[in-house]
Amino acid sequence: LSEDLAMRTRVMLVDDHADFRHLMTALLGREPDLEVVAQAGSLAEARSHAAAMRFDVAVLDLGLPDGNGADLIGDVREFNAGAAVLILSASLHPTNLERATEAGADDILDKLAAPGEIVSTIRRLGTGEAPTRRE
Amino acid sequence: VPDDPNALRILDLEDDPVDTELIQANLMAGGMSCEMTRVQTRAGFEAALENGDFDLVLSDYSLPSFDGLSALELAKEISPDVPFILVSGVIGEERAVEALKRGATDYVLKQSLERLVPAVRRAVREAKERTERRRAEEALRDIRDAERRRIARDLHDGVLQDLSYTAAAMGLIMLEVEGTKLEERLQRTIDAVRRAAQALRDAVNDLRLEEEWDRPFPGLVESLVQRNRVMARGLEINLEVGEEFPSSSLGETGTQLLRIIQEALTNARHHSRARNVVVTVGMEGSDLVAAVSDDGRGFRPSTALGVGLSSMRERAAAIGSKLEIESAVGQGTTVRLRIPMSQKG
Repeated sequence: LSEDLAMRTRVMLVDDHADFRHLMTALLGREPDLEVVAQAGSLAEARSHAAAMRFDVAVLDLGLPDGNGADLIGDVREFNAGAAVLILSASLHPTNLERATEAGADDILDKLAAPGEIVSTIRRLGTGEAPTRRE
Repeated sequence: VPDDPNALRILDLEDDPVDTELIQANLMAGGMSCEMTRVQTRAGFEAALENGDFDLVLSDYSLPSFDGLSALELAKEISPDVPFILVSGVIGEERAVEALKRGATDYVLKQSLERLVPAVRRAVREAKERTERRRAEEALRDIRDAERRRIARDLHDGVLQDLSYTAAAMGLIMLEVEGTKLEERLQRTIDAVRRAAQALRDAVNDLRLEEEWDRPFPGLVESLVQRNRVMARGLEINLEVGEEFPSSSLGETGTQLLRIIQEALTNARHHSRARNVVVTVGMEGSDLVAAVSDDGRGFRPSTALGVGLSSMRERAAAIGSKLEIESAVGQGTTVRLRIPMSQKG
């Protein structure tokens, strides 16, 4: 993969567990082709980022203090039409997953997945499935 | 009398209007205010039960075009909670006993209508007690469900999130100690934290299963299989729902069945090394049959004494079923369950 700045996959992280977010930032920070450009701990915060920032992959937790992360998928797509959405959740509760799938999530990953799998999934979503993402 | 809000609403299946008047006069003489609706055909009886809100059914035994036992059967089906008293001429002890066996509340001879008032009083009182008991049970269940939801939420939002974080944080440290002597120790620790998180998640989802009693079963089992697909990459899980399978909620049976299927899938995921699992649910006659089959390494049945297995057995027993397990080394494993569904399917 090219390490050219233009080829970087820009990521928005949405999770109300601040430590987990920092950890993800550190994990993705090790990868030259991935970059965390925005972070949010609530739906409201994520909505304002979604409108103001450009990113290629949104990594969403489902259980947020002000609502369900699945409800963000529409907002993400409204402003970042080509962005892919990865649900990264600890609960994997069927009702939640159905809701996320129906709302158009591109992939769902268990928070317990190995770091390597999280990285490779984000990379795949960033490079493979969003052809219009780069200006 | 008709405007008395406390009047007993009585459906009387009776072909002779004089008898209905006699019955009403008897009840009123006994101090009971009542509103009688007289019907004399099957269609009339059925329509009245379906549209009316009755406190009591009184029924003659033999009518020109209908009969008391068929009426009883219909009443049990449409309004099982409404007491049903046969009021008839002499029909003999055997038939009376038969009617009581089939669920009639009482039996009063037209020749001794003085028994009617105490019989009606008792039937109405007992029905009221049953209703109150059921309400109390429902209230208790609501409290229990709320408690479960709270526990599930607390575990999910607090402990599970922190455990997931811990596993991920150690995973990140792992990337830095790869190739050192710490690697193996750390990996074992990570594995233990992941196991704890998974067990906790199962427990949380188990608690939440209670909330879904009233959802149609096929959708629930589909969700459950989908959830397992997410958790088990590399394992192909197929679901087959038989055509005859009820599209409604299965209540408690459904909840236990889902837990058994989940347990079997967990075993397949963790222990079987299978590539394919097939979950089938269907009907064979009036029996509901469910099976989870994998193409994994199998085991000798005598060696499988895990907690998971005994919990599956317990759940099966709770819904009047027996768990069958077929397995042999190298032959895969099939967990099968047959649940007799009584008339109330």
